[in-house]
Amino acid sequence: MSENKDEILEHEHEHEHEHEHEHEHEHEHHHEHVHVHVHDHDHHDHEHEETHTYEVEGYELVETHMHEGATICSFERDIRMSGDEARAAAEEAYLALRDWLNEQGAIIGHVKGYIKDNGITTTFSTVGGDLHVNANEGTGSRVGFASIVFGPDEETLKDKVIEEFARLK
Amino acid sequence: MKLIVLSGFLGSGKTSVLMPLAREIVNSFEGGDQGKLVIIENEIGQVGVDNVFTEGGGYTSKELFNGCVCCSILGDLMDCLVDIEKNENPSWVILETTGLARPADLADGLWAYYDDDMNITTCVVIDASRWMKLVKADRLNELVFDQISDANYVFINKTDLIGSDQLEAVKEDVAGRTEGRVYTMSATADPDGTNKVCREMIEEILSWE
Repeated sequence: MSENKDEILEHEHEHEHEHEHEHEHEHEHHHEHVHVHVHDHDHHDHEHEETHTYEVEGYELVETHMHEGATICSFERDIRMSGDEARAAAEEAYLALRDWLNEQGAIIGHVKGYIKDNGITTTFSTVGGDLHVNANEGTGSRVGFASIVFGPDEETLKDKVIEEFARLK
Repeated sequence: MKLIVLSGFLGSGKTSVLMPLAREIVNSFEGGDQGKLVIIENEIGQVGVDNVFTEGGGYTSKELFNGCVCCSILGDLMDCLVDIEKNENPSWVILETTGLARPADLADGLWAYYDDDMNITTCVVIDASRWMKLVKADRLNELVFDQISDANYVFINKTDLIGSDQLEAVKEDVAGRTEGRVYTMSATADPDGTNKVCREMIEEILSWE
């Protein structure tokens, strides 16, 4: 194994600069069926901006950042509501957020999350159409959420997420 | 140690493919030893959600949050892999990337670090019901094309959500953009078919040894 991790990381940071670089390389994998992987691709300048965290009452963590043009907003919190009430409130929140994003003309990459409560973990997931809700046995008591969308800026998305998930108490 | 990079755009169904893939890998071991597989979940935000979907599977899993392993946290991934090799020494690792990852860039970074001495297979999952829209979306299309262009395998997922004509259009479009082996599946509606595809992929990777 090469000990040039620092060189690799420097190379990684070069992606943050404005220039593009091209290189051709050939990899020969050590298989009997030689999987010769010859390709010529431009390495992409990855855009990852700094993470913003917010103090919001009732939330342990609310954060946003941008990555490759996508707006990311996540949160984690505990809630007092339990069981069916929490799941119903969460479902309303996801649908309201989804509808708002669609109305804004945003492209929904993924809006997803979970509620852990009383031995049941319920997961929620939408890419703009149906909301998929599944419940399985689980442990703990927690609410987690993540959204990756193209359209609204960080502040707007964060405010809308907090507004819709105020249903969960 | 064999690494499968399980990638593909947001919401394509990577996590739904991950479990059957993990099961087929474990089934390939004598005695079905789950300890020979480690799963790494990469989440772009600070909150892990996909790992909750896969909890309870009984596999050793690691989480890398708050960044993308192909760029912003590539160094963290390398540290994680070194750690896994040292502590767990599994035969296989499945890395589920974020939906914004570019697997070719990730593989290049890893090969550079491992002096090309790492068995990496890239498997990219696409959503059949959204593909033709993404193809027309400025900027996003560049990402999804990049994701599949150098993939070893492309899984066209969610085929149950579209008609046969649409599926043929998606297959034709994808085939024109990748040299990888292309499979169709529906991870939630057709688990048996999905298991079969995963099994074929694992058998092929093993046949290279």
